[in-house]
Amino acid sequence: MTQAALTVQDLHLSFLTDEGALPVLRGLSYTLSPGKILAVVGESGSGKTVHALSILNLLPPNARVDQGKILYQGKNLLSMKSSALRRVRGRKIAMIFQDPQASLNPVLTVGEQLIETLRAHKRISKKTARKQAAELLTKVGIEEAEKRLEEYPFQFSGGMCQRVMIAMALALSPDVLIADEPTTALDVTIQAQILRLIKELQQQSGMAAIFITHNLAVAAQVADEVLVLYAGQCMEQAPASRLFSHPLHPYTQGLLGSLASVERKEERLPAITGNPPRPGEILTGCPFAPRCSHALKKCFETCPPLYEKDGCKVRCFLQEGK
Amino acid sequence: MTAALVIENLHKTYVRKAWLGKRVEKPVLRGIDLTLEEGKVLGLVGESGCGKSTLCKVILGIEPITSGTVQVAGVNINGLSTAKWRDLRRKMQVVYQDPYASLDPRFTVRQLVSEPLDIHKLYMDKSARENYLRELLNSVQLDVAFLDRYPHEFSGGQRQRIAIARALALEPQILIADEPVSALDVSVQAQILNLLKDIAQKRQLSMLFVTHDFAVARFLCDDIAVMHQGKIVEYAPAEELFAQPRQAYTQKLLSAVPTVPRGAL
Amino acid sequence: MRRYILRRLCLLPLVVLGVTFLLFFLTQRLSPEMRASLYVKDPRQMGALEEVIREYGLRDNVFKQYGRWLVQVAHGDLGYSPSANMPVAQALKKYLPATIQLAVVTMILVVFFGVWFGAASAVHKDRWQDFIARFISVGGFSLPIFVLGLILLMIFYGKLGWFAPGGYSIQTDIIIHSSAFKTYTGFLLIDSLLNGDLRVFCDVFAHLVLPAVTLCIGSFALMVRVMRSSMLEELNKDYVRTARAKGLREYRVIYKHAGKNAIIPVITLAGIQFIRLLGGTVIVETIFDYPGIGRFGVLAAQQLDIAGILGFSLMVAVLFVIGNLFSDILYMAADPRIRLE
Repeated sequence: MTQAALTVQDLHLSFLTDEGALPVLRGLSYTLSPGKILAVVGESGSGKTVHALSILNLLPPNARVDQGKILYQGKNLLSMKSSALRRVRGRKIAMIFQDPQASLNPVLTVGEQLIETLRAHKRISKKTARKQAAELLTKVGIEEAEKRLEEYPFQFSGGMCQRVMIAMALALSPDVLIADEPTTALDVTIQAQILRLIKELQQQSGMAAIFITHNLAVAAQVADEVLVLYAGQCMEQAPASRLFSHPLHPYTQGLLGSLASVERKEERLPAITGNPPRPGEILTGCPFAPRCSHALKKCFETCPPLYEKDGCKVRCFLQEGK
Repeated sequence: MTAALVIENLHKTYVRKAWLGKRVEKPVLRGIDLTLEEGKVLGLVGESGCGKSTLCKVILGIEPITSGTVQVAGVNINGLSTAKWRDLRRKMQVVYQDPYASLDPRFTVRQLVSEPLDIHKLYMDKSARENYLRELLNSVQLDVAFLDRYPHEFSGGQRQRIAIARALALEPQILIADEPVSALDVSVQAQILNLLKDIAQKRQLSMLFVTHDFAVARFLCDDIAVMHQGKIVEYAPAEELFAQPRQAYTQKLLSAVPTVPRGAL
Repeated sequence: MRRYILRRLCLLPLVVLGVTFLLFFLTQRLSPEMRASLYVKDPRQMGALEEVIREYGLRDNVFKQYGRWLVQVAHGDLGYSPSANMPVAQALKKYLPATIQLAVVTMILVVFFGVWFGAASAVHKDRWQDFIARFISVGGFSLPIFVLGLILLMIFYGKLGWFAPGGYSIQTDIIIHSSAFKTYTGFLLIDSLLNGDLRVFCDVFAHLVLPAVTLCIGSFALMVRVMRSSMLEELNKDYVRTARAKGLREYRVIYKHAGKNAIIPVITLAGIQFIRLLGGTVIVETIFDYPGIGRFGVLAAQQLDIAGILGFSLMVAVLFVIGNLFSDILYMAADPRIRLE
């Protein structure tokens, strides 16, 4: 088997608040295969963004990793010295974010921001860096790249800013791209373009990607594999085609079922009842049990393990012995 | 059939003029014609910046009209006096996108929902008020025990139910819903959409439902108006529009909507 | 941008007219005799009072008097100031450079230390650096300027004898008034260097230290606060996270990325503070007997020297508009969103 691009092992993470430590991730594990796109799907508070930030240690000061490892090329990123981690950031593992306009510095030109990324990791002259920056912009579909290097982020539309972010992330041909809700702030037409662009560039370069989203349909567009996160735990992980055609976990089934469809008119949406648990809520048993229509008595008492079969993982007692 | 809301050739232009500076005009609504039939749900679909939020503001009287007319329940809102507006607000209410921002955090649910009643001096008798509040909370499927709690104790979906209860308190005929589910979690959106559908049917509400999401619009709306750059580019009964979108812009939008491949479900 | 500057300069005469007319109108509350009395030095010549009133037309209506004053000003004549014992224009020319000198030195101190402390305080939030910066800032803010000035005077002049208040030493006075000493800019700090006279420079500098430090402390406190909160806000923004995710060094993330944004509100504040220093260092100039424009203004006001007051306020109004314009231009230079809109 080829070496994994990234491995997350039993990651526990909590937020420190006035009310004590609130757990947000409770033992998340997964393996990212090289050259594949893994979509991490979850609702707000599920811990999907926090998990993404923890990979490059970009967590806010009130977040704390309690336990677990994130392995990249055999090294644990979580225990890496900051100088070593800095050489991984941007060069080996790059990231793009939800709000592209806010993610670029408003008082520096797009060119300056691209050039400094290149020069932070490569010993090249400003002139060379500038040339490469222009090539990168062209690559992500921005016309008149030379001229646009001189412009500031506010002179770009949201979609264009995201293209700049992508150019910046791909500047050093990283092994892994982490995309945290990259299209959530964009209109559907722009979203479609950006998704196509990411997929295209990912296939060209052969890098692996973690694609974080709350939108199942978006995940379906890009992902090779999907991981469904709920209350800081993996509920189900499966190849995309399998997950959308045969969802095994009641939560995944519920999510897919409750989506309104643009293809047909429904009289009623089969909604999941109740509300997602608040981040940090103390849970015994399966976190989804209170909302689950199949819940058994033991679901409220002990949390089911991840049952693994044919490359799919499901955290549900219904899969026991299957 | 009569119309709850009639908009004719509505223009809205924002003007910025600095002292001795250039006069900058920015047209946002450029000749809107739109009719919301009584008891129907009209979906207003468009991308960000198309002017749909501005249209809501104009209808609600938050922004003045540049030219054209807006008739709410047969009343022309242009230049309406404050007192007349107060009367009209009994007939038309609004639910906003972000239930975290639209509910004053210092008010309890009881105060939030009672406020419109106090303003219009309705259900002033204590027990009648209590009964009515309970009825309202029931109608949005909220526990009556929540009455004396504060908004921060609730999740997004519950807050949006509170906002809906407040909007329904005056038993309006018209409800303006400005992206009421786009800030909510996926698993909660469906609940609120079902609720809005039930309420619209049960109360014979005329609803203007503003959204950027075609799937949501298809579920809820009878008619759909597609808005682009301050104009209505296509207006048709919902099923007709989805079966055969006429305008290139509508087709482009529809083809960009990502879909989940549906298998066994 | 050019259009904006032009527009602001058009505002200048309006502000000046408004301010001076308001003051002119207020001075009319004094009787013509009171206004004339200052020009009659000798009590035995009280009879000359009526002559002064007639000569200057002090009984005419306000608009007529004001118009006359404006015509005079247009000819560059601001009148004679009895309190300074010289023409107003000459007094302004004499005292203004000293004040500008004081304000500039103070502002350099304030901006340099304020930005530095504020940024350090934000970067090391809730650690000892932060506590020190906040302690100094709160202390400086709550200590009245005249108390602080007197304490500094007591220690550094009274006990240590380092920095003398009042006029320059006799030697300095002799040198700067000699024909060998060339006046280039009117600012003694610069002129003494240009003349190659270090002794004068040191003396002038020694007279600047205490008033500058006193003024600095109060403004510094506010500057630290603004810079700290602005920096804290910027450090939490998405682009800072992006900068870190790109693998930039931490100092670059903090100073180039967050710092460049955090400085924007500081520029506005610095502009306001600088203008205030130009027109209103009255207390400090009085305490240290510093020969600046504030002291001239106070003396003029105390002695009902109307020509002096009007000249003073005319100048402050002009400085105010120009200073404001200047800080706006700096602001635009720092923020491309405003510059390019």
